[in-house]
Amino acid sequence: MTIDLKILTISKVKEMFANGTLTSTELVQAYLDQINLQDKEINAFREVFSDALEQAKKADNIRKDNPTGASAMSLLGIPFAVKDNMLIEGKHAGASSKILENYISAYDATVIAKLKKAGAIFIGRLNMDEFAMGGSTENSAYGVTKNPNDLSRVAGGSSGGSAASVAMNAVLVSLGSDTGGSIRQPASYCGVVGLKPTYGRVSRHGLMAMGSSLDVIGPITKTVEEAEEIFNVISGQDRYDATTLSDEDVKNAIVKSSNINLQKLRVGIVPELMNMGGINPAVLKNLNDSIEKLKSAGVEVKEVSLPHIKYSLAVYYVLMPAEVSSNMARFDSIKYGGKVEGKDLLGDYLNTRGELLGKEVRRRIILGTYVLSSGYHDAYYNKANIVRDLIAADFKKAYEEVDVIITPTAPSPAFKMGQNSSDPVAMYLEDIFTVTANLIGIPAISIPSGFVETDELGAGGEKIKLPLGVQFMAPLCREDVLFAIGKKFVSTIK
Amino acid sequence: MIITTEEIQKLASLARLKLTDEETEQYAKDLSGILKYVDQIQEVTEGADTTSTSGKTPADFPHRNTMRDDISDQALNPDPQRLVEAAPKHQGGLVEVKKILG
Repeated sequence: MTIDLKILTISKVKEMFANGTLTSTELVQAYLDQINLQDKEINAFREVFSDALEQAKKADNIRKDNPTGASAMSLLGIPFAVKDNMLIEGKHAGASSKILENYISAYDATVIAKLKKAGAIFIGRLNMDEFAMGGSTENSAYGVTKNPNDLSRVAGGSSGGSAASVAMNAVLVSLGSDTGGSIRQPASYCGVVGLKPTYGRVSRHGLMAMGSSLDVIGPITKTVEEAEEIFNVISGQDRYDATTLSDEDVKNAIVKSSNINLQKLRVGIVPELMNMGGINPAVLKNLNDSIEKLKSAGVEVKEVSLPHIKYSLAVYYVLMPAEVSSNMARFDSIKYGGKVEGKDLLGDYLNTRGELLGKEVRRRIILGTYVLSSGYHDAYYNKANIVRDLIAADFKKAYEEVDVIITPTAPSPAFKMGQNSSDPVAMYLEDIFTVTANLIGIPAISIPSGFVETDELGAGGEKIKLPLGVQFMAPLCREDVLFAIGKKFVSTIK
Repeated sequence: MIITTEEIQKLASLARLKLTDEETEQYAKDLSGILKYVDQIQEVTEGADTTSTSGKTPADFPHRNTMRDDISDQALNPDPQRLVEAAPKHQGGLVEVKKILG
């Protein structure tokens, strides 16, 4: 049977499962065929699990033999693929790094356990920048993930495999992680939806830590509805992650924004961000078009001031490397991963970390070591924390005027492979719109907002079109606002 | 802020990273560029009277200290044997390391 993978969503698949026109096994086989066909070129998958079909068959059997059990599993037989930095018991997990080449997960990450309980199946693990450090997957030790829309360009990163796999219809939905934009930016580059939930709403137990005050796991999907459904399954307090929020914490946070009316959302635009330069003209035009579409749909749009947001990226590139340098200390050649022998214990450390960690990871460790070192701690780390609070205060004030803030997701469409790799600052600037949500913990979503036509021709002689995305940022714990405005926005561009 | 190759060597040794000469030079250049960019936070003079906020999450955050009793909770851990087996070198259920004291 031929399945039109492009039009499939979780709800469509569930409907087909229920009326018997599709089985999980058939669906997984179709995705495996698609991977065989395309992934040699795209390189979204680090590994396709050998038991993918077996998992699907099991799900089909539950549906057949145990209808009561099946009805309690909201994602029964739904195929997921996950970023290579999340643990699935018994499977390899490597964060696309040589240092974890032979590592096998000893337990399930909490998000994986929750999805398994809901009946989801896992067909593979996805390429990423090594330890999630990068914005293009060019820092993967296993090669770049190419953009399905244009093979000369990057898929974005660090969750590049997560975005490309969904965009190329090689899996229904995926999980990524976002420390400074790593879900939203590749989603924008590949033309799919990417959700970064509120800090603490989704457990990071079993996610390899990068910046512990910033990291969060979220879904990458084709539609807002699917992102919402997955978020509802994976969120919640977790005894294994002390930073997760309790239901009461969430309720207390929502009280602070209780004046929001989901039927009548007010959208804020930020002149400080739009006027700072360095934004691709096509991106600016697309943002303005998006704002006009919202206005014509009756959405109130007004300007808000965020005077300190221009410092967000600088703050991020102090705090994130500081946290990286401490988190990466666990890769010591003793507890897990690879080992390069030295003449003594110190030699083991130096050799293993020097040879098996990639260039960008080592760059960030050194930078983090610098900003935390005595003499510079006050000027960088403490100062950055002060500015972080000022940025949070700006947003608090802005959210008195508006319910959600719109920006482009990234300052440019997907860039050419190699274009930014010689200049770290140029690469870091791709994060300019996304890092703020991580710094202050708020939820944000990237939603496809159209295409920009390039002058280059594709294989069929037609002009290549690159996807663009807009980002919505809501107050703490107000993912519901993102889903509401996201659905509204999608309805205006159809 | 200009970072010298000597400083990179010192930082690399603190971070337990072996670098080649070429890498040391490259990182000195990279770090100088990155620090030049992040130095713009020094323009901000507000908030300077607040006590150091280092290490805490932003002001409006719904977080609080999470405490639990200091008792061993087996359920908190996966099978210890599997964790030991993840070590590159292990023997008889123990992780193997080189001699630390002379």
